[in-house]
Amino acid sequence: MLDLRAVPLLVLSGDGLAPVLAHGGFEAGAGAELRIGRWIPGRLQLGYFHVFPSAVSPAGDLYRSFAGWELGLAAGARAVEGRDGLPFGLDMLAGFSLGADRYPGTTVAFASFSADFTVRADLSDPAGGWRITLPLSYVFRPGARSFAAGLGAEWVIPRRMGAAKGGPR
Amino acid sequence: MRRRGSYGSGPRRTAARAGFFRGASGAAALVLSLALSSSCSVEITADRYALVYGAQDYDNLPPATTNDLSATAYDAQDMAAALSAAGWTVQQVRQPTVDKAQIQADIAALVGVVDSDSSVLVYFSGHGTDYLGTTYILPTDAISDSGAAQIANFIAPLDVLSWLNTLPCRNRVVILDTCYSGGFVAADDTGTVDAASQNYGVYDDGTGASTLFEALGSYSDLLAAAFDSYDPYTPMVVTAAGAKELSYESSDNGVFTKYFLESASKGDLDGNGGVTLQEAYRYARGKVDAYWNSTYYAYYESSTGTYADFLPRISGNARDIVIF
Repeated sequence: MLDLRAVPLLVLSGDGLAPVLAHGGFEAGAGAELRIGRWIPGRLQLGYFHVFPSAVSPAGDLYRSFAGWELGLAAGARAVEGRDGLPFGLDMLAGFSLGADRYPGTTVAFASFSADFTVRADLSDPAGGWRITLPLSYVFRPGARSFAAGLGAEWVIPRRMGAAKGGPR
Repeated sequence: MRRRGSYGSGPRRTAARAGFFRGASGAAALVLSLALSSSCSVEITADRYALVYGAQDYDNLPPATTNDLSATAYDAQDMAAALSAAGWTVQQVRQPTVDKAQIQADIAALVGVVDSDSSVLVYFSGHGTDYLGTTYILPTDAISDSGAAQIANFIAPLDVLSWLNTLPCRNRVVILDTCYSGGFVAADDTGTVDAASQNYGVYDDGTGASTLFEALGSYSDLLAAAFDSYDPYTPMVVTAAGAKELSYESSDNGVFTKYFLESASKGDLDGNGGVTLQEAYRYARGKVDAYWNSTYYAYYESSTGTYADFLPRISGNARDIVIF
């Protein structure tokens, strides 16, 4: 299955010296995954993210904006199945992402790694339609660590939009 | 060739100007993010101290000689005024002469003054050089009255780092308007890479997609660095030029310093009421590229084998700080 997503992010950053400060941000991307029964043995996703500068501490310091592309791998399972013909179902996935980042407006580039955990809830037929996604990430980046939480939407592209299928109507 | 007028200027802070230096090698903006990042005005309660230097009178031989610069004293005066207006306590302004020992002593004098929340900013405008592969900034006692190089008085990145390391404050900022000053950024090990060439050319593009391609080119090293926690006290550094580039001055200010100062009133890119170091850098870099490099990119300095275009640099610290 293929899907597209857009997720606003709340990010908390810290470096062990300055206070932990909050940023806003967003992520947009696409993913492809394999489902076997209730299992999701593999998911590959590519996304662009942008994290804005953090709030400013009373000392006048803040965490810089950063942005880039990330490639993620994940696996998981359907934790709650839709019942009685209702589309509602809940997936849980865990994985990691590799990021190629930069500080916007500069020529400074760096790499990042994030440990990811995602909960998804179907709003419609899980084979195609909308679902809510709640991604959580712990990001390792040079000199700082960030925790990112999002609440966004995914559109699962139906395999054969409009194609007639056999079965009860 | 020495131009005058508005940003017509002569080669500035080039080691090659001093004969003895020739031996030295020459909607995306989401509501959430807006609420968190851009809506608040900046209120800073911690103490902030600045040390400002304009090295201009290099060999003490009146009138101005070939080693002297013409605008670094103005740079120091104008920077001190701008920082003071922004709430910094300017502890020391030294121009047109400044010795290495004075800079070291000025920093040491802050040891009992600053606390862990304080910020210390060091600004230096003057000559810089690349000597045996290391970048140095040159206080005026780096050149003797007879015009000889006083190498012991050259100031290396590690000198500045060790001096600043004596201070207990977490925010340390170094701003340099000298030739070759990018070597001070390169010496700041922040686990990042500068995607632009250290000898920038106007046809280079270190500003867009190539930044990420550069990251991919050395990805394994950068990824390893992502797990390292470099010293969070590492100074934030902004420089006028790359490690292999010259920088220049006009009749009133250094080219970089002029635009950096201008950012105090025009550089608040996110509209939160404060101009951060990165915002000031972005503003100045854009102006240098738009107004200086577009005019002088083809001017060749035969004495150093470099072209006159240059690109300001910034270190890769995770933190930033409000400057203006």
